[in-house]
Amino acid sequence: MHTLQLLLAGFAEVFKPLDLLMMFIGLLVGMAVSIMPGLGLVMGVVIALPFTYGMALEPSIILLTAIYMSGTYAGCFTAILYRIPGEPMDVPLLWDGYAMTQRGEAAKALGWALVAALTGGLVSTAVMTTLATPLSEFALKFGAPEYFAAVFFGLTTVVALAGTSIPNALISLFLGLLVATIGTDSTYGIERFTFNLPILSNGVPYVMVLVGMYGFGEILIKLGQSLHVEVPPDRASTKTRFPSFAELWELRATFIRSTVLGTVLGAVPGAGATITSFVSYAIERQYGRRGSKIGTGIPEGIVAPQIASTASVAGHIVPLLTLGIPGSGATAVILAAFLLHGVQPGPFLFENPESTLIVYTIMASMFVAVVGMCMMGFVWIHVVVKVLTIPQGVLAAIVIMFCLVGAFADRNTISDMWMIVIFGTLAALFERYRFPVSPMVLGAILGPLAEDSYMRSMITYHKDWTVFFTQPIAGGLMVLSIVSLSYPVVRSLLARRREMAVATEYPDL
Amino acid sequence: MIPYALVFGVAAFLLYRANHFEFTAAADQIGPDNWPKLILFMIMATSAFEGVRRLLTARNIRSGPAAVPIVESPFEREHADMRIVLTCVAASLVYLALFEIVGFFFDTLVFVMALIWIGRFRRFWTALAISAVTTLLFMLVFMRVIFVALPIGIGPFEWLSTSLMRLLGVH
Repeated sequence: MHTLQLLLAGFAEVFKPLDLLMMFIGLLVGMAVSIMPGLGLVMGVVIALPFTYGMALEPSIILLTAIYMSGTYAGCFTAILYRIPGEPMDVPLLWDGYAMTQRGEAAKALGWALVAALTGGLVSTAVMTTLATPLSEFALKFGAPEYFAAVFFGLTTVVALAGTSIPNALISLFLGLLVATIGTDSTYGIERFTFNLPILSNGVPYVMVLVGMYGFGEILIKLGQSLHVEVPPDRASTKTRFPSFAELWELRATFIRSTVLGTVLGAVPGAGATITSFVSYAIERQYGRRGSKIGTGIPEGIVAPQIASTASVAGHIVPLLTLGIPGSGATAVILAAFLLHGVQPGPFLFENPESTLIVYTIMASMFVAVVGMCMMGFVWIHVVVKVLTIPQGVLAAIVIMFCLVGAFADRNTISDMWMIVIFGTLAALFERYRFPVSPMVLGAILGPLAEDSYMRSMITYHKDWTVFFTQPIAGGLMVLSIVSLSYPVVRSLLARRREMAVATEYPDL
Repeated sequence: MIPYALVFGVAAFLLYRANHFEFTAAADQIGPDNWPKLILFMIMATSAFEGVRRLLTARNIRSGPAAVPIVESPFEREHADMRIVLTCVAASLVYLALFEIVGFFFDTLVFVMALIWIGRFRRFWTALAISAVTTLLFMLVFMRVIFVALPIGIGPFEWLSTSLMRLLGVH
């Protein structure tokens, strides 16, 4: 009841003109960036971040959350209509979506995607809103060892899900943690790795790492890949036709399975919309009633990944609000917006009525954003897909300018622009040598929290490192971390064993 | 192999620096060097392990078919052309070097043009118009809406920038 009252109060806030305007802009920006193959939803929130400097906290977070939410949906338009995935998360959508388009069922495919996004977004937001207060009460029991274990779990899952070699992901993560140590140490007040350079004495703000590697670096890579998109947006093919109730009822198991999967996986740090989308598609293929037909152009192949990717948004936002731990690039930017306004997300947000209202306003905004993006998608697909006609070079130039000038605007110093270029170049080198970028970015973001909780644990427990394993919550999280880190290694070893068995059995292959 | 050797070398150097942090730690407590050293040890161990592993794998490939590929991402991307990437980085470095001398407007105008050209858009007048509009919009939004003091340059550039700002209504 208490949650419902807070949520209603949140809705009242969301419908204030400025908040609504920010949501509208956010939904539009999210749609535009998720459609362009060169951009993405993380880039969208990165670009929007400088505009939040002069705003109040509520409209800022509403803007960024709306970009995040619609960024998981609009990519389906171009994936289904033109076989152009705006983001990796949209790849599973084109297998069945484009197949339906080729059969002349584009409107139906778009209708399925819309219903899936609506269901995934609303159900997941409702579940996570209900869990927010209990989660924050649970988080209040966290001491330094528990916080360290929670961060450690987040970092290990990011490494495990980085999708490349584990050692490369670990090196990337450690480099991120190392970057976070640059500057003046908070406990002893001594300078570390500053080399007497003024640019480094205040440390490296993680926003610069994030904008540099996800924004500037990503554009460098895209320019280097000479991505060229040629699409004749055809208004006739951009209509949406909803599935009937009978058709929806037939797919009830897919809806339930994918919503649960998206919400749960979304709460796992590192498992962004892309991972949830692929996993949901794979699960549907394996366990779905018509699993063997997936890939030939059936609605299950659209519903499963679309529900999961939209459901993952609430799964990511709520741990950020309740624990203060961002699990993805987009939530890291949202955390940056909180910090820029002098608010630290975490369980203490729920302790006073004013900040609790902010939390529930954000939750309410997510409900409105889901409905809003679906309405906008239904009415304006033909307008939104026009973004594809903007030349890539022009788009790249504009995004680079947003990254550089946005960095300058943060502290009015050119040093931050140099940092953007340095980290952007590093991201391009990472891509060249197959090092994943996400672990480094999350390492730089979570590094200070990890070091702080590690130091406090060591001071409180007199250098007894076993405390991370002997305390029940911390120990449980550490075991989960070990399992998540071992899983890809075990999977790789099993795959290797299978390959060797095949090679022995069929030496001519 | 080279990236791992490089990472190992940098980590070893930073470890040396971390050993020379000057501080007085309380008795029975860890110092500010503990956490960075822990990270640096892990970087060195991981890069040494992976470097050696790749070296041995490369030898196996040369000597027979026993090499096994590492697990790769399900959505691998094509490599970026490093010449284009480096050109773009070089343009950015020049842009930043001239940022406070030439001022935001002229520096950005040329930089945006350069980026559009690097992005293979070769219609000169259209590119010039786009970069002029983009630069002016950035000036308007950042100087008038977000109140950021973008550099106006020195000497004649300062005079030109201030005249332009006056035209845009920026004070």
